[in-house]
Amino acid sequence: MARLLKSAGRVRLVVAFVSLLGGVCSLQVLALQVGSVLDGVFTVSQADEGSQIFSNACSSCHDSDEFTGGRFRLRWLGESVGDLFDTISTLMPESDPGSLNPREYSALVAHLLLLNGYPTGDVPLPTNLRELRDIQIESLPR
Amino acid sequence: MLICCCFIQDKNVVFGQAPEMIWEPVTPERLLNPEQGDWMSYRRTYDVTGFSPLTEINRSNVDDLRLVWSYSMRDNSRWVPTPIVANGLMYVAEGSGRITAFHVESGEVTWVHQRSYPDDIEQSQAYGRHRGVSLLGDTIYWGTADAALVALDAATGEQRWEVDTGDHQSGLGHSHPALVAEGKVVLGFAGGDRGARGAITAHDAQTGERLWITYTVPAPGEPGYDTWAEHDIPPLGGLTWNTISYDPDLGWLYVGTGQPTPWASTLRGPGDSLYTNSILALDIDTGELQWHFQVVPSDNWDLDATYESMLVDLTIGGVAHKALIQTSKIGWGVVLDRVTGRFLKAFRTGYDNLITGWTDSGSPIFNPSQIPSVEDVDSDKVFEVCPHYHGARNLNSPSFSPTTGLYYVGINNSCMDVMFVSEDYTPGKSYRGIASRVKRAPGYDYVGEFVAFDPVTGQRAWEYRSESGAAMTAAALSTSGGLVFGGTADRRFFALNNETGTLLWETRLNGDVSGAPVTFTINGKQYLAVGAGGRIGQTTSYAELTDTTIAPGSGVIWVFALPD
Repeated sequence: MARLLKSAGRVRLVVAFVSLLGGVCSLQVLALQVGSVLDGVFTVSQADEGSQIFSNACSSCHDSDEFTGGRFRLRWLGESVGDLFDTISTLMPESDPGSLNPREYSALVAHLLLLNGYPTGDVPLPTNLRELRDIQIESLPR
Repeated sequence: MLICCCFIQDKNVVFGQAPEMIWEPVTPERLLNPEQGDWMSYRRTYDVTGFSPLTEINRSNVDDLRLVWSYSMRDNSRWVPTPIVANGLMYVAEGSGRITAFHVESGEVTWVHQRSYPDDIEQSQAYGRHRGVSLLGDTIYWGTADAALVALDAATGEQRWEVDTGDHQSGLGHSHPALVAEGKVVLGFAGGDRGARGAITAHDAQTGERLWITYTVPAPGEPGYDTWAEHDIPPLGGLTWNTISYDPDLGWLYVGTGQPTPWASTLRGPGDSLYTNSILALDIDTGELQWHFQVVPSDNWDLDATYESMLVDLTIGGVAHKALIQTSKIGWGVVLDRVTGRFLKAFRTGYDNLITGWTDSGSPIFNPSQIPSVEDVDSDKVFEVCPHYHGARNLNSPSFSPTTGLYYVGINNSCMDVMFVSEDYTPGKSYRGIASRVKRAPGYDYVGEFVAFDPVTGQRAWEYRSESGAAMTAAALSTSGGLVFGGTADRRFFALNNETGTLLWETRLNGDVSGAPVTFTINGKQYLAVGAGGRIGQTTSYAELTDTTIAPGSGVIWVFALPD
């Protein structure tokens, strides 16, 4: 599968096998918009805002270490940032799900990504679910 | 004419004005032996069989059911309502601190009692979760999220008195209706994910005075203390947030308890951790423990045994027993002698790879490869554990039909990947020690099935699955009309032939059928009521396994009847 990775203005092109026809290998470059949390998909100030929101709206039930380390990796590696956003924004806070606005949920996601050591960037995380679903949660290089 | 006016009593508000009515008291005798058309307590009777003898709605006409009215509520999360009905009024509780009284025949809201909670109410695990109220005489008894027992006038909703039952700042509150019997109001507590200490308490129904409190986990020197390892924190957990049953001949209550704190033995230390995940028999007059049976000793996975002990007399192996049946989060049901606490049998309910069998004395035999060691903590080792911690069943109560002899319950088949992790303890917060991620049970292309079990043989008589395989969410309701009702995470509310499991009627509601269907008569006419859209644990955890869309929006009460 070919993946076109767009990251902070840089375009990475990965070329791979697509099909093998009658002994002839045919290579094809597919353009897909797929991003990664490794590419710096949120800003410092967004994560700061998220930390405040966590304090106000989440910390009465949750400790942030619930969402870091092994607990975060087991639940979210391989999912998209959109999945994370969707889960939080439809189910939380538990006593009044969906009561925060999309910007606040995005900021919360940024906060969690920062807590898990993902790099910051120049562009804030969007609130558009389709765009968020294009950002994969990958593991940090060890 | 209804005139809207507000009575401000202390900090609570009642909206509405009750129509002129004559209140026929709910007598102790009526709670003990309800009339056919009554549904005046959580599972209708003290044996909690959740069975109705009504026959007007039956196999020949159930697909003629029509909507009488529906009403949007406020709760939109973890809402598992069981309405109760008296004198033409239906009472529905919400975790947002509201009791609504509906005039059933007209569908009008008669009154709403809104409680004013303290600012720090979120410390109580009961906040946002409330399943119903209880009745005696002309009084509603309401255990509240801020750990109070409140008495309301059942006709007007006005508050008469309240007493404290615990400290909500420790995580304690009431999410489940009380059992009212022998002039006492018996309450369990929620708070197991806030590190609270479990207890059952009884208060005098007239005065509210506390009569006794029995803790479910021990202080130093108390029985069971030696089943807990030495630790920085005392024994905590064992909360009691589900249905209490009562045997009036023995004068005993049956209460189930929840998981220990922390969940994982890797952080808690070795030991059975009594009396967590247990069935307790208590004397209603004194609260004294008569016997206990621990369903899941030395827990690691939040496998609460808080659920109801259904009291049914069964003949097993030619011997008649006053028995009880309990199904819980594990993929097994247990049948005990309710006089002696002796284990009679266990039967598989849903997919389970933790418990492979039971000893003759009723100890579960655990799959040894599932037992973690301290070396597994923070090791990235993944265990596949089945069922998921929302269980093979959860708050969806079962029903037993004396006609068919079958025990009906919605079962979910699921697993979770588990890693054992280190964690700091913060008072008032969940203290677990595991990370988890839900997944399907191996080989299953579905999650939910509605099952009829024969409790004598432990075998399935039949099971019903919807095409979608979505999780089962609603309580079961069996009736003398030859029917059993159930409901799913994907909004299906259905009626089956209670002998064969054949689908006879189905409709789709606003959201997951999260509440318990109840049936009752008003002026001789049979009604069927259910709450949906509560977005409960089975719905939110298992939806991704079956591509089920979780409806946004809030809960709704639905009332059905046959055409006039």
